[in-house]
Amino acid sequence: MDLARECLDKLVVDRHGKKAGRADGIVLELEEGRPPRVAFIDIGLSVQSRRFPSWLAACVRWLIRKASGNHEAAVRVPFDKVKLQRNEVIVAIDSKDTPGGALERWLRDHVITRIPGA
Amino acid sequence: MKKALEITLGIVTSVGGFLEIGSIATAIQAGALFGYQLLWTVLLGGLCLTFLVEQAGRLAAVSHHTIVDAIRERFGLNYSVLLLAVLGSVMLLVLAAEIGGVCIALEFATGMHHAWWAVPVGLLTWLIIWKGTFGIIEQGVSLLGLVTLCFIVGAWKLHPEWRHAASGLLPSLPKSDHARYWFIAVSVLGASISPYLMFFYSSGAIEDKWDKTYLGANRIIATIGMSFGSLISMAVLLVAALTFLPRGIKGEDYKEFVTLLNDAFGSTGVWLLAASLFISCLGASLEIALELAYLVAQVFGWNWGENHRPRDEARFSFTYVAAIAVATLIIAVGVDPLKLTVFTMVLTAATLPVAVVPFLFLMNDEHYVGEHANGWLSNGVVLVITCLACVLAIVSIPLEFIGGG
Repeated sequence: MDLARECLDKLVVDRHGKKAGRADGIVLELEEGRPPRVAFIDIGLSVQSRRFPSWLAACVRWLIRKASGNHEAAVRVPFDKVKLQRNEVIVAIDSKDTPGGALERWLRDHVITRIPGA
Repeated sequence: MKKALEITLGIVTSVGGFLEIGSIATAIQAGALFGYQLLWTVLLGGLCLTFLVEQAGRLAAVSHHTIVDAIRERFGLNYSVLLLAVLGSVMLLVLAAEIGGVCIALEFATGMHHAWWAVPVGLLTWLIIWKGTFGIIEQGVSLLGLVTLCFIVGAWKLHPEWRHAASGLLPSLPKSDHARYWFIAVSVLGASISPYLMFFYSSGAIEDKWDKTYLGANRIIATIGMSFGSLISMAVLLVAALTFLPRGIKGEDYKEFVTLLNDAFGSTGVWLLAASLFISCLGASLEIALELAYLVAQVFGWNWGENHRPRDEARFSFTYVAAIAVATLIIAVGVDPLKLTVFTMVLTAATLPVAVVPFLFLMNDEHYVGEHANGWLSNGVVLVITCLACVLAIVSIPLEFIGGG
């Protein structure tokens, strides 16, 4: 399997068909004498920050710390709960349980629903 | 029958969506300063955009990906964040320019300074997106945009020398003021080949659930719609050449625009100009505010779509609300909308390669477009656009200082 092409950066869809972010990182498990095994996919801003240039990564980590106090704004999904499809990656989790879901809830409750007609 | 209706509406959409403050202002300046001589830039910009829009629609219909989706997958996180930073900033300034365009229209109609209109126009833009559906925005505003046909009627009534005008369709060098000539040429091209239009078109195709059966419709919409849009831009240039050039009006101050249609329509001309500016700039404001939200949502994999309630897509809704608020503030503090427009059109030209180069790769990637990959003609045209974009990127900023006036 070409992981970079078939999994990394693909749209992640949760068990209810809602978008849950993108496959921002892939975690491989290495065991001596055995080929590497795909263990997890990671979703979230702190995973993305590891792929940025160092100055930008530091800024993003600082922002995450200030905004949520959570250094690991990410969710890790075991690969056996992942189904790769042509256009997306389907995961057996709820998008509400991702860091993006938390931001969505916060914005909905504190900003959007306070505007008339939302 | 349903598809025929969609084709008709799509063409109307293109007509309404093509013309905005950038294409109107740059075409007026081109006609006012150089007569028919810069008609070729409008033709070239329109041709390039036709090819890009057709390909954007084809990518969406075949792969079910928007351009941004495909760029994130194919070119990774860092490139898509760069795209977001560069295009997002430029689009925010273009959004401010479009809101400024609506305010100028209201100033023409009421005499009240444009800055006073910024907040009501910002609120109107927000309200239409907040309460409207994609269909209402796409079709309603664009149908009203047909008022811009008055430029074609106006040009016809002013009896241009058609043979002389036709010679302007071929590139030629000016006798003097070379820097200004090329500065305006770059601005016209920047106004025509705007990445936001092709990005919006591909997002719209996904919103409208296009599939391969739409490939024919897509070709018709892109070709007829964009050609017709270019024709209106050319008409604006012709009218400016026939009314402003003989009087020595250079179109460097937006207040000079107010008399543009007076020779053709008498006192009604002001109202037609105000209505055209109002509708076309409002339509563009709606498209750009939405496209900014689409861009962010697609890079990070959020839920997006204009047809859902704002509370159901809070991050998406928050993005366009914030974008409209910032853009409104820029105009409310008194920034000159015309100066901002010309500046952003050159910036658009300078940032074209960031969007067009990866697009060329996508349109040849079998994973996305399969057997519908670009042929030699489409590739040739996009290659020319890519080269043009790179040249524009290099020359546009120096020209801003030498020829920007």
